[in-house]
Amino acid sequence: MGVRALIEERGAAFEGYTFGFLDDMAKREIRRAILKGVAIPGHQVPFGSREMPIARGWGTGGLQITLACVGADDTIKVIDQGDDASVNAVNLRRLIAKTTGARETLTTGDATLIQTRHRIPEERMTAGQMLILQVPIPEPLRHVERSVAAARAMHAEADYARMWLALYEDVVRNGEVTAGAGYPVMVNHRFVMAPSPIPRWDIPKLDQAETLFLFGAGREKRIYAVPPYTDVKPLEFEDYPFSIEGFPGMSCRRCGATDSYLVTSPQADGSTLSVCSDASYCDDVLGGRKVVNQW
Amino acid sequence: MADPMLSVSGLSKTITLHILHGAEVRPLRDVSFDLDAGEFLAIAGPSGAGKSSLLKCLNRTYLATAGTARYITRAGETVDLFSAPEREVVALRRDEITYVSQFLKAPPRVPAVDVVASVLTQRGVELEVARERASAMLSRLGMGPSLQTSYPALFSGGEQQRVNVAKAFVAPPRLLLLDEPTSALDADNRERVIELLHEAQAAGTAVIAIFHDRDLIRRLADRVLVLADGTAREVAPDDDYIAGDSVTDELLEVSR
Amino acid sequence: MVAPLLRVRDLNKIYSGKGHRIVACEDVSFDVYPGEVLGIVGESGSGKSTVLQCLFQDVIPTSGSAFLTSFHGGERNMWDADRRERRELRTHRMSMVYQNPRQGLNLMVTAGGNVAERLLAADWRRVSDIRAKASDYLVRTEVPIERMDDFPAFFSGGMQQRVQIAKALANNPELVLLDELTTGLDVSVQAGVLDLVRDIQSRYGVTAIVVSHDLGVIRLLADRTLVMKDGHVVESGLTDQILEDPQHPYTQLLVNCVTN
Repeated sequence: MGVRALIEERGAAFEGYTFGFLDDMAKREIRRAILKGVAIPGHQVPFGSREMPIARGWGTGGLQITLACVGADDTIKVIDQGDDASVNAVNLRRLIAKTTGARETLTTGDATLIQTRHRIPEERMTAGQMLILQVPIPEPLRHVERSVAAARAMHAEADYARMWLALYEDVVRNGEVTAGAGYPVMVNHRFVMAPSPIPRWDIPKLDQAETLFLFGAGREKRIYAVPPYTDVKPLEFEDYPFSIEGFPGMSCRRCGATDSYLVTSPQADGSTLSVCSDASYCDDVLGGRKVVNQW
Repeated sequence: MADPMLSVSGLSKTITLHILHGAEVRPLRDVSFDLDAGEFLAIAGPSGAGKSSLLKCLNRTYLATAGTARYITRAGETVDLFSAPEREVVALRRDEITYVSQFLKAPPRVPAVDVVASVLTQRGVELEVARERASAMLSRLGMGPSLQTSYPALFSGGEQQRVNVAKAFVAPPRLLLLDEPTSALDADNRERVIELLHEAQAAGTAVIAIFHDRDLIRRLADRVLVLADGTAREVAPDDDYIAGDSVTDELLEVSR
Repeated sequence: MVAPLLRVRDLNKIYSGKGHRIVACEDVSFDVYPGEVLGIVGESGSGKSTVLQCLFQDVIPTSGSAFLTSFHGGERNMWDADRRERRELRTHRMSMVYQNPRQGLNLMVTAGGNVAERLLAADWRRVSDIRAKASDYLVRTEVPIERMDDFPAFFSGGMQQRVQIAKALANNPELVLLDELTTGLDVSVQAGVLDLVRDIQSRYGVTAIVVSHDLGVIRLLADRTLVMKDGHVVESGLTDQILEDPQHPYTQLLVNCVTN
């Protein structure tokens, strides 16, 4: 049974659960944290992360935000590293749908609310949409300051010299800033933020977007946000500017796209196979649907 | 008549040696004298008479126990050298008053030429210019290039003294305090120092110098202050004390 | 007359707990003028390092005030600074060279990176400029430039101290605090580090406070000196006066304990 068939199946709603699985007070608390996060872009807001029916580290932060925001008339999409069909993505989507009655979709443009792990869709999201990112490590300073209290003080004072020092050391040792996934960004000229482990390819999409981005870290109990039309700039040195991944001479083996983020896997015969990371985008190109992918 | 450039009045110095159960030494008692700009005052007297203490008090290396030393600066301000704020003393030492001790106290591991040049760099002279002038002064005192770039700690007494003298004359101050500048010098170098002293005086430097050599006192001094047992008495350079066979002469002899 | 760069008044640091009260320093007052080096000498436990730690705000004083000319025009007590101002004081206006390089350096960050940190804190954002400036400071402190990208963890003690001094000079602080900078070093290495500091001081006119138990260090570096004992300043004066005409019994003892 294909993933589409699973959606069509739409079995009966779960019995005995409140709307959106979480109780009302929990949802309120999460929404308050979200509002605070929106009010202070890039600032990590602590929240009382609940036990969820999935393990911590499997997207509980994103899921709690989704469940606190979703309504019965929403259309939801769940992506796991670009793919809607992974076991985890399917399970999350079904849980959300079954406890809320929300419609499911695989198409970025149709969704009102997208929960994602490690990717921002290729298709440009618009003002009516919301992207919820699952975050493993919300603290961008984790690697330069072990003490949580000290790191919070650094954020409070906008003291990012240590962060810059780590980037400097990276450049000295490797000739460039090597951070691949989760490249640190400066939000609204104030807070350094971990954008979750999205590829560099997706970083520019955060800047001055029409969409609301919400970030949830369930294990670490933090929520933060980038509201629409917010400046989000990667940390970069003037002489070592930020750049996104390039795929020179490569195209998607499946749809032929040359303008999307590709994932490559080695094949038995020694060749490599490159396909779009974003399965929805790949389907769209294949199906001839016109998609705006300029963010 | 204008006020003298320096007017010392009632200078006494008592040293209390706490580590020797409070024993007291009184090298100077109620010493007074005046000095005009460009004047040369020689200080004579036997060892232990308080000569070095007097210079050190003027330089503030010693704290005077009593008395005042009214000094009129180049800018025309009157300063009591004994009680002026340390900050002012530092500035005066840099710009107007040079003290040359009997024995060179050079910082370790600094070449002779740089020891001398430091007098100039402290006054803001460029290092290269200062080195050139320092080197010229040391050459004039008969010190060759190889010695100039060695460390004074390795020098003989006479060589060290020439470095010390060079410090005094590389940038002639308004007031020069000299503690036996020629004691370890040979006749040739002594003549050079006398030459330098004449030049400095001609350029307006006032000098207070401790000498044991009667001949030097007669040739250089305008006036002589004779110290004995901490008290002072002023005489003229052609006074019998200096010129001939008086008691003081004996004192001077004894002290050599 | 030039105004003092720093005025310290009635600095007290008292550690008190159940049944004990330890006076680290009491009623310490002094001025530091631009371009001068102030020495603080005393035995261990005299409170001299506490004074420096309070100035650098590693330790918060019990009471007292300190006015830095560039901080609110010298009219606001430095010790009333909020966290952000305190950081600003520590990264832009002052620097500290600790006795133990581990305290002043991140040993797992390259030598150049340690120096660069103060530049990065001052918003330098060109790697080439940062490296040029950092290597300039390292050259001044005679750290071989080919070691710029090595970790100080693998440097000798003397070399670590040179890196620390380079870091302290970065970003041209108004006041450099030096705490027993040669104490942990071999005698021959001590000499090199002292010569370096003296040379830098005379070349660049750095204003500094030098704390040492060693009168030799003070003699070499300080224009004026405070003598501390049991948390109090017992005597202060021009360094040559302190050495040649010490007034206080303790200072006399100290001076007479120095060999040569």
